[in-house]
This record gives sequence, C-alpha cells and structure tokens, in this order.
Amino acid sequence: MQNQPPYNDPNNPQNPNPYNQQYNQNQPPPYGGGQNQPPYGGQMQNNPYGGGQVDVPNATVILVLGIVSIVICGLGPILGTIALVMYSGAKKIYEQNPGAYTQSSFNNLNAGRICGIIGLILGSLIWLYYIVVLVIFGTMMGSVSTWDRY
Amino acid sequence: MLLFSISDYLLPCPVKQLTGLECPGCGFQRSFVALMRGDLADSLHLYPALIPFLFTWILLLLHLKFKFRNGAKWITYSFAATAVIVFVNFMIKMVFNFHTHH
Repeated sequence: MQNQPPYNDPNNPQNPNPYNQQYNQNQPPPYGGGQNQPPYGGQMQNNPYGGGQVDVPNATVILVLGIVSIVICGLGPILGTIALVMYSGAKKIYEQNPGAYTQSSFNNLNAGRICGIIGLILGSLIWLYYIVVLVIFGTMMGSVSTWDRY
Repeated sequence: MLLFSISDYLLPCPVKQLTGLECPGCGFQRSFVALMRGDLADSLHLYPALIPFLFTWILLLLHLKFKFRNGAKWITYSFAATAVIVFVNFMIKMVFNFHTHH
C-alpha cells in the first residue's frame, strides 16, 4: 500500500497513465523541430493510403475555394485571395518535406491555385466594371433621373 | 415534387438588390430550376455556364473519390472554360442591359 501513490503521477515512467500516452502519440512535432517528419507527422502511421504519405493540408479546401470563386455574387476576389493565401501557407508546409505528401494532393493544391488566380482576375475585372458603372454612370444619370429606373 | 419545392427557397442576389446590377452568378438558380424541369434551352439562356459549372463539380467529386492521375489538370481546364463562359455571359448581359435601358 505504501508503494502506490494515491494519484497517477505523470512523471513516473512506470505509471501506465492512459492520458499521458495518448498525448504523446497524437502530439504533432513542433514546426521545424523534426526535419525528417512532416508537421502533421502524427497522422503518417495512421494513414492507410499512399504508403505513408499524407495529403497536403487544405489542398481540397483550396481547390474548392478556387472553383467556387467564380460564381458567388461578386465574392470572386475575396474567395480567390483566401485560396491564394491558404495556398502559400500549404506550399510552405509542403516544401519542408515534399516527400511526405501525396502527388495527387499536391496537384490538387496547384490546380486550386490556378483556379483561384482565374477567379481573382476575372472577379477583379467585374468589380472594376461595377466601380466604373456605379461611380461614372451613376453620377451622370443621377443628375438626369433617379437611379431607381435602372 | 422535390424539384418544384426548390423554387420556393431561392436566395435573392444581394448585389442585384443593392445596386440594381446583375452579378456574375445571377441566373444560376433560375437556370438550375429550369434544368431540373428538363428545359435545357431555358437553362442555357438563363445561365450558359451552369452545365459547365456542374460538370466541373462532378469532375471534382469524382476526382476526390477516385484520384485520377490527371484529374487536377482536367478540373483546371474545365474550370477555366467555365470561368470564361461566366465572364463573357456577364459582359454580354451588362452591355445588353444598357442597350435596353437607353
């Protein structure tokens, strides 16, 4: 009785503390700490696809954002910019260890970037058009008649 | 029955309500309803980019499921074509809109 402490000591290596073990397994290594492991290295052993390679983080989200950017009411420049910002973040993570990520998700990442750029450019042209119409024509027509007619 | 109830839940375009000008997505939902009714001509007239857009999405979902070797490239091309149609359609609508009102 005297050898057993009344509580689970986390510093005791012989103590089978379930929380402590789970913490160590799921904790990703700190950024830049382990050069041979991707930042989300904890997922590598659990990934059943691609022989130990994981998808580039957010690759699918970036691709979806890039594709959606063209349609939704004038939000193209915003969604396109979000896609490009997320792309640059994901690209940095990818470049830390390119071998750790699936080629498929890297292709998706680049496709998302291109779609985001297209959405951003065309969306910006549309915004430019709105500004020209609303500022120049709006003030001109406003002196003649109410904007309500249009 | 489901298809007819869709038209009760369409979202009005905030850009059009605010400015009176159509946005590049205006007509999308009407076009979708027309397509669901089977009226292809009406669908294409309301929003020509709807079918390419849906095609891109189906391609995307299939690619995410089956991971085609050149899937990302196909999606990019499909999206680029869709984007050009959206843009040209928007410009034509805007020019046409001005002509009818002058």
